[in-house]
Order: sequence, then structure tokens, then C-alpha cells
Amino acid sequence: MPSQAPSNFALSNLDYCALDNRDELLNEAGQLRPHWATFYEDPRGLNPALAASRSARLDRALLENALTYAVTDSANRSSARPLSVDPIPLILAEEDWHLLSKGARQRALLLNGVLADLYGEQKLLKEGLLPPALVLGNPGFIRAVHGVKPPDDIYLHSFSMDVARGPDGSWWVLRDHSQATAASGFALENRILMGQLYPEMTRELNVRRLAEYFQTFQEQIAALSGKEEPRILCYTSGPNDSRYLAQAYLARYLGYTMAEGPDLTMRNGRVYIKTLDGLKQADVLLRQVDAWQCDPLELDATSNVGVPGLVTAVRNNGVKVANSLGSGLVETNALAGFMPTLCETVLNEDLRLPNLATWWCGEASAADYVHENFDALDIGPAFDGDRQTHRALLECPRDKRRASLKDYGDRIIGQERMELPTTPVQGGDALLPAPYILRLFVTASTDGFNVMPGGLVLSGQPGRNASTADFSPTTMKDCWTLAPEPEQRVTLLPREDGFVKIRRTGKDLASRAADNLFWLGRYTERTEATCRLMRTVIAALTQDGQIAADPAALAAAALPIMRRAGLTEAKKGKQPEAFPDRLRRIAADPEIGYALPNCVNGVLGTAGRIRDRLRPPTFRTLQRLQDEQTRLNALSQKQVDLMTALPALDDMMILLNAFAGQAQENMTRNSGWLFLDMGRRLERGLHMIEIIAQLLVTSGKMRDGRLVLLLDLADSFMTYRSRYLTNPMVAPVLDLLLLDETNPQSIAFQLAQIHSHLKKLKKEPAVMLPPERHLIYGLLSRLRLAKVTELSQADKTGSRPQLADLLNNFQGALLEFGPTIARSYFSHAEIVRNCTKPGIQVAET
Amino acid sequence: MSQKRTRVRRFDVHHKTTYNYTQSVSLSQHFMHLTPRSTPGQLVETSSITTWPEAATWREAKDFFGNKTTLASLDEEHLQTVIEMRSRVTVQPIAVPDPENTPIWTDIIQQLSEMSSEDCLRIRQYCYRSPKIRFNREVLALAQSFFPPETPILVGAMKLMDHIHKSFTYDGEATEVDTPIEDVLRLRRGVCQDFAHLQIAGLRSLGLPARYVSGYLMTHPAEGEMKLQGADASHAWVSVWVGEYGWVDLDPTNNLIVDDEHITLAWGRDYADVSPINGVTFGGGDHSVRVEVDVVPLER
Repeated sequence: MPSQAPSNFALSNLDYCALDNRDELLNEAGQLRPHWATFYEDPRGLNPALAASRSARLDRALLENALTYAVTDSANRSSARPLSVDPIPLILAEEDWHLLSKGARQRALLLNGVLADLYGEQKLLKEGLLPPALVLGNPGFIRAVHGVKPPDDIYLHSFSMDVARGPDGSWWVLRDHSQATAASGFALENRILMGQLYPEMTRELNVRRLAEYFQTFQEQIAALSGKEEPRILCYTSGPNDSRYLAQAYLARYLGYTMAEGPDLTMRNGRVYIKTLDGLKQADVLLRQVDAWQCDPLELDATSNVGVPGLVTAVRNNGVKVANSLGSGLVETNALAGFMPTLCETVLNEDLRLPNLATWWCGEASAADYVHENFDALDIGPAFDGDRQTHRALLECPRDKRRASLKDYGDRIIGQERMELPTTPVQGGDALLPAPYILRLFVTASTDGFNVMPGGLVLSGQPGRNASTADFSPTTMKDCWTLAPEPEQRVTLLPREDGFVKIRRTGKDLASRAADNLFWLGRYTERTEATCRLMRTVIAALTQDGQIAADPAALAAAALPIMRRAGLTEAKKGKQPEAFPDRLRRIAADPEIGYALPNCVNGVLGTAGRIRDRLRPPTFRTLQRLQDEQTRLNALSQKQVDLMTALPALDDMMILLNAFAGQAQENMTRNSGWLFLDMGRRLERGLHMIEIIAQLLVTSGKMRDGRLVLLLDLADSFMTYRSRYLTNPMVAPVLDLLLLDETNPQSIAFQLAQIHSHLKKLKKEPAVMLPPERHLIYGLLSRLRLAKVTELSQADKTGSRPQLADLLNNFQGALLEFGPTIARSYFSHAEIVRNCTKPGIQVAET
Repeated sequence: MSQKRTRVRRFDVHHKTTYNYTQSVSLSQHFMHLTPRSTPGQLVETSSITTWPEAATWREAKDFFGNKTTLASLDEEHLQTVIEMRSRVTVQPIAVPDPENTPIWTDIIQQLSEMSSEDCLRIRQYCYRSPKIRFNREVLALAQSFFPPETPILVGAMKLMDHIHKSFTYDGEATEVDTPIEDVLRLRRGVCQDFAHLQIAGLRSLGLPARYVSGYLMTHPAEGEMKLQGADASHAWVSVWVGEYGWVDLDPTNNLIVDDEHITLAWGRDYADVSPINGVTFGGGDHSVRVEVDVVPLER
């Protein structure tokens, strides 16, 4: 690689202009920095002509991976603002990398040492090196685990830190992350995206690989348990956490099952995950939940994402938790000023990477300084996890904050504001300078700590300077460090000649995940049935459809949905809404339980909770339902023609079919798939019962086109036509839709499928059928014995009492099936409730 | 006011908590601070906890503050949980110093700040904000008004207690278990726990160590009436560090120095550290809770 850029280098052909003399691409003289030269000169690299195709490829790769982003901003508020990915990596010069990696490694060692002391002997306090208020008054100090020694004295199994370059080019530490560090999942995923954008260049430039880092991480996590095949769970607080996406990504890559608090239970000093096959012991929890929330019995009693008794299990050595429960203590911002002394004492070395200047108001002189320089400083909470001060600061108007400094006392720090340097990002076709910070990742290893040779770059609004105080990330980027020589490849795949037990089942299926899969099946089917009904009815109403059904038949067909949506009864003193207006409500009213917006929400909600079990393209297919729903929402305005709904409804059905196909073709037939399919079958069976009941039970007249309508709604018109040359007649239609086990739309087919799934799920007990099988088997037998001639027989009034009786019965039984299966399989997924604390009251004597 | 007491009193304490659920519970787990603590002024002769249904597993431990904790898992299907504690305790109050002779409050702070031995750290941890103890300028101003320079610590602490007792109304309906101190200050109402928290906040805002004590108080029936069964209750008060005299317990609810009718369960930084029963259920729907406490003095 050329070490020097040509002297007459014209950057104008890049049209890149740095904001000032602190830019990663250009040096103080406005010339290209040498370590960017190869990437710049190569036509496949920074080439501006590639901007459009680069963006297109990146967008495509993102879609394929079903990645959307949520970030936590500097104030730790979760925000829905998506964090985009930039196609231009940050390239670090070798000397910078050298400095940062040594500094990060030292910092992890140091903070681990500090934790070992503070959760043990507390020499640092006794010898006066740390003020007691910083530890004993710190909400991050978890007293319940004081004295618990983790294996090998490792408290930080992974660790990350945010760094930024200062005005003189040297690096400063902004913040440490010692609890949930799954953001490394984003670094990994950025790298995989870059691999797709620059397939040859990453190899030719010797970009250091990340795989070894993750392998080291995986090995030390597995070693924690001391078992051959430990059960390792990624313990998360669920999809509401802005970090969930990174967690799911990392868990999928490392092969860990995702588990939320309610999936786990402490029994007899150990932790178990509730699965379909009962309780399975968890050996290691990769903790992504803040410590104070981890145990409602011994830590914060109001937590609803905790595992009751987790602290007891940890003390009992019944489960290993990484990072250790108390590790959040070293996220304390107020530690900054003590780092040089701590480093000398604990490691007997000089601190390599200094912190941004920080004044902790727990010390009188620092408090005075903060008061005097209030406007020049960034004021924040001193302790991580101090929600009270955090909230109070947010609520306090800026002009009153100075006056209220005394209210917070030692809970406050003032921090220097440092202007951030810039690095190029792609904005449209142009390269623009954007302020950035870099997050470095460290993992514990057998020989201390290893640093990820790269990291996660967070960059802010392009074209504008920002300081550490007002920086807010909008984009993330990959970070490249270039090895002087090609590296050996490391892969996470095990050695091919190693010994592995053959299995045909995958990860444990948590009861909650099975429950969600079951509901995902129900919601997708419900959405599809509603779409089909709407499409048929709207097309017929607008004279455009191929079905010339009578308006009365159309209204009858739509009745079950209208009824469930509560749209059949008129409000007091008012006429019922006109039929087309009610259809609009079904398409677009988010307030109505069974209307499409809620069906789609149901699909996305349940899918989001089992994201780690769905392949990215499958998830993306479901996500696109939301786009179609957005189109449908226009119908809430009456001037919009109902007809315009048809394309969106068609597209929604295509997406749902695609999802069904992917589930059919790509999911192994494990219990997860069985639950998904049972949900779908149950919902379809219920839907069929309703439309048959509406269209065939009470009406003797068959001349209004309702049989054709029924066949269309049941997607069986073609099948009928292929068998019978006549126009539809009651008996053959009933046979096809009710009794024919070869027709995938028939009620008999749904029951037969559910029955066969249930048989696969559980070994049969010796004497009795389990209740859910008893129920389905009963229904199926009744159908098999039914005679279509009797069912289609109408009495003098034109109604069919036998059919009515059967459908009525079936509906009641199938509605009972959901709760029955929940009792049999999801009983472990019961809601955990915190008991009321008895008030402490004693009257005055 | 200095009195040497040599009285020894014995009590039987019975504390029964009953949870009734509307739907069956498959598992309930309870973490308890429900065993009286032996202290220089209190000897625990016997103490036991029983549950119904019987606990499948039972774990005892000591918490960071030296209190005994018990974790019980009840894993039979049940619609009701009963937790009963029975103890026999001897109380022999230790001598209370004459408040006028106690150290000047600023000297206590000065003295503590110069030491960092293990014992000293154990005291200093009660100087700071904690989950339920917050303070601001308002709390500080209130506390300062009773602690002019040169005030002996116990004189100031008792004046603050007297103030809380006189200007706050005891009201079982006004607050909940988790009502913050700011609200108590505004409402000027609360229960023993609120008054204890408020006094602790006041003392800590000055930099003085103060801890929260959970326990029981023997109550006296009104003149001419029989003592009702189960009418006693859990109680909470404050312990303040008085330098060489050690910890002295003050009961702001009743405006008195704790003597021989208080029985100590546990202490910590605030209620959250030593809540008598912290429980979760799996399933169970809604639930109601009933507490009965009897503190019965025994003839010697």
C-alpha cells in the first residue's frame, strides 16, 4: 500500500470539504491522510461515482437483514429515531489503533480490579483512595452481591467505552459501559454489511477481522459454567428496550436463546427457563438488563423484567451471570477524576487514556468549580442508574439548574465540553464531514482482556460541528484497522472433525415463544381472512368484481366481522353507519379490535417478540404489512374512494402468502412450527364456521349468488369448478368446505392438521387423552361421521337446523381450544405479580 | 432527662400476614426480613417463621446490614398464603445519654470524615441518599433550623423529631408504601414510615448518619378497654449516630426516645432495604392482604 499520497493530490475531485482542521480524512493542511490513500485511490473504494450504487446496495443489504434501528441518545432516553448505516467506514491509522487498543485493554483490567476490590475487601475505601460517598452512596453499588466472588475474579466479561479525539489529536474517554454491552452486535452487523459493499477491498486492505473477538467472547462465556454443553441465555428486558435489536442480532450470531425475565424462574437456588418440555436449567445468563431490575425480591421490588430470586441463585453459585450483577458500579461518571490514582494503585501503571475533565460535586472544591463555571460545563448525573436525579435534571428548566445545584449534592457532575472532530459520511451523492465518537469493545479472555480490532462509530448530523455535550448520533459506521500483513481466518464454526452429538431439535422453545408463535399464526390468518373478505365485498360493491352477489348476501358475509368489531349496533338515537363507511372502519380504524390496523399490530407485535426465531427475510415480509396498512389508512377520509383499497389489500394478501410459504418451506418441523401452524388452523377453522353459518344456515333462497360468494371467500372456487360442471349447489359446496379433508380450506382439514400436530407434540399418557386432543378428536370424529345430505337439508322456513347445530357446537368448542392449549403448554408463562406490601402503620400511643 | 433503666421486659410477638388470591397461584416466593435481631438492648430467645402452604424450599442468609433474611418458595397450587412469625424477645434498654452532653453535631461529621476503617465505613454508609431517602434545599432548611452551630447532636435530633410530631398529622389514608418524601412534606400527613423517612432525610441532608429501623411497638388499649387481638402493628423509627454513645433510637411518630416497648426486626438505609415481606406470585389474578400483629408482654 502506498505510504504517501501524490503531492499534487487534488481532493476537489472528491468534492469533500472538511469543516475545520480536525478531520479524519484530511490533515491540517487539507491533504489526504496517508492511511486512507488506498481506499481513496481504488476505484472500488471512496470513489464518488459509486455513491448511488453503494447506497442502493446498502439499502438492499439492510432490507435483506431486516434491520431497523432504535438508539438510546446521550440522555439514555429511548427514541424511535432510526439510526441509519453509513457506507463509508472510519479508517484508523495504525498508531491510533495501537494507542486505543492498549488503552482499552488497560481500562478493562483496571475497572475489573476496582470491582474486585469494592465487592470484596474495599481497600480503596479503607485507604482513602476513593471517597465512601462515591461507592456507599452510589445506586450502582449492589450490596446484595457484596462478597460474591465470580470465577477467576472476572466481573467484566465484556466491556465497552466511548472515546473521542480531542483538539490536539489525542484520545479521551467519554463514558464506560459495563452492564449491557450487546451494541457489539451492531459492530458485527456493520462489518457484515461492509463485507457486502466492499467484498474484495476488505481482504486486500487487510482489514482486521472481528470473528476472533467474538470467538474469544463465546469461549469465555461457555467456560464460565464449567460444563461441556452449557445452556447460555441472552437475558433481555424485551422488545421495548431500544437495545433489543442488537441483542437479538448478537444472540442469533452466537447461538444463544433469548430469554425475558418472565421466561425464567429460580427454584432451589438455581435458575431455569420455562420451555415446552418443562423447566430446563440455565447455566449462564448473558445479562442485558440493568442490575437493579434483575430481582424483584431482593433488588427493586417494582421491577417487572426481573427474575425473582436471581440474587439468591447467584450467591448460591447456581447460575453464572455475565457481566456480574454489580458491574454497573464502574459506569459511574464521577469516577473519572479518580482514574489516574486508581490506575497507579491497582495496576501500578500510568493511565493510558485519560477521561474528559470531570468535576464531581461530592467534593467541595469541585462543587465550587461547577457552580462558578456552570455555563461552560455539561451537567449530568454522577451515578449511572440514578433515575431520580436524572429525571429531576431533565425536568428542571435550564435557567433554574444553577440554583438547584445544592438539591442534588453529590449526585451531580460537571463535564468539560469538547468539540468533536469530523469524518466523512455519505450524504446523497456527496461526501460530508460529520462529528463522531467511537465505541470500543473489550472481552475477557484466558490471558486477560482482548480488544475488538475495530468498533462502532456513531456519527452526528453532517456538515455541522458538535461538542460532546450536544452530540446526538444519527448514523452508525464500521471502523477499520488495517493489519500490515494478511491475517489468518478465524471462523465461529467448530472444527469439522470435532465430536458433536447429533440432534434434530434446535434451541429450547421457551413457553412464551411458543405462545407468541401460536398467536402469530392466529394473527396472520385473521389478517388474511379480513383482507380477503374486504377485497371481495369492495370489488362486488363497486361492480368491478367477477362476483355478481346480491348486496344482501354481501352484507351477510361481512356480518361476522362487523359484529366482532361492534359495528352492527347503532349508537343510541342514531342510524347505523352506512355499509361502505363501516368497511372503511374495518380497513383503517385503529380503535376497533378486529379491524385491520389491529390485526397488523398483532402480527408485528408477536413477530417482534420472537425475532430471534424468524429468518430476516421472513421478518421483513411481515414488516412490509405495515407499509400496506399505511396505504389503507387513507380510507379513514371519506373522499377517498373505497376502490383504492384494492391494490393494498391484494399486496397484503401476497405478503401473507409469502410468509406462509416461507414458514412452510424454511422452518423445520419442530414444536415452534407446530404452534405457528396450529394458530393458523384454529383461526381459519373459526373463520370458515362463521361464513358458512352466515351464508347457509338461515337462507333457503340460493339465487342471490351467495354460494359463489362463499366459495370465493373460502378461496375454493377453482377447486369447485374443477370438480363440478354445474353452478354451485348446497350439498357439494358444504362437502368441499366442511367435510373434505383434502381441501386445505375446509374445516375438516384444519381439524385433521391440528390433531396430527398435537400427536407430535406430547407423548400420549397411558390412560387418558390430554384435554386439547380430546376436544379436537371429538370434533374431527363428528365431521367424519356427518352426512352431507342431512346437513344441507333445509326445513320449510328455508333454514338448516342440523347445520346450525353442528356449526354452533364447533364454534363453542374451538373457542375453548385456545385456553385449553394455553393451560397445557403455556402454563409456565403465567404472569408474575408483585404482592402488595402490607402498609406499616402504627397509631400513635 | 438522663435515666438509667434496668427494667427487663419479655414479649411474645406474633405477626401473621395473609394473602388471598382470586385465582390459583402455582408458585409464590417471599423474601422476608422477619426475624428479630439481637442487639445490645434486645435478646431474641426464640423465633420462627411458618408458611401455609408449607414452603418447598427455604433459604436463610444475612444481608449487607447484618439482618437475617429468609426466602421461601411455595410451589403447591394455592389460593391463599399465610406467613406467620412467632418470637419471644427480652428487651433491656441500654442507657440513653443526657442529650445536652452528647457531641456537637459538626464534630460528629468532622470525626467521621477523618476515618475510613471498616467500622467507620459501616456508619458512614448511612449518611447518603438512598432509594427512598431524597433531600433537597427544603429538607435541608428544615433540618438546619434545629441544628444551629454548637448544638449537641441529640438535642437537635430530638427537636427535629418534636417538630415532625407536632406539625405532621398521622393519617393512614394519605400515603402509600412508596410515597416520596417531597409529597409527605407537602401533605404534612403520613404514617410512621413517612415520618421516619423524613427525619432520616433531614439528618442526612446535614451529613449525619441515620438509619431506618423496622420493628414492632406494644400498644396500650384505651382506658378501661380490653386489648384487642391483632391490633398491634408493624412500626418504623429512626436510629441516629451519637458518636461515642453509639446509635440512639428515636420514634418520631410518638415523639420519644425508644425505651422498652419497641422490638427491633431489622435496620437498613430505608424501608426498601428491610421491607418485612417482599413477595411475587405466578398467576393468581388480584389479591388482598391482611396483617395481624400481637405484641404480648409476659409476666416476669
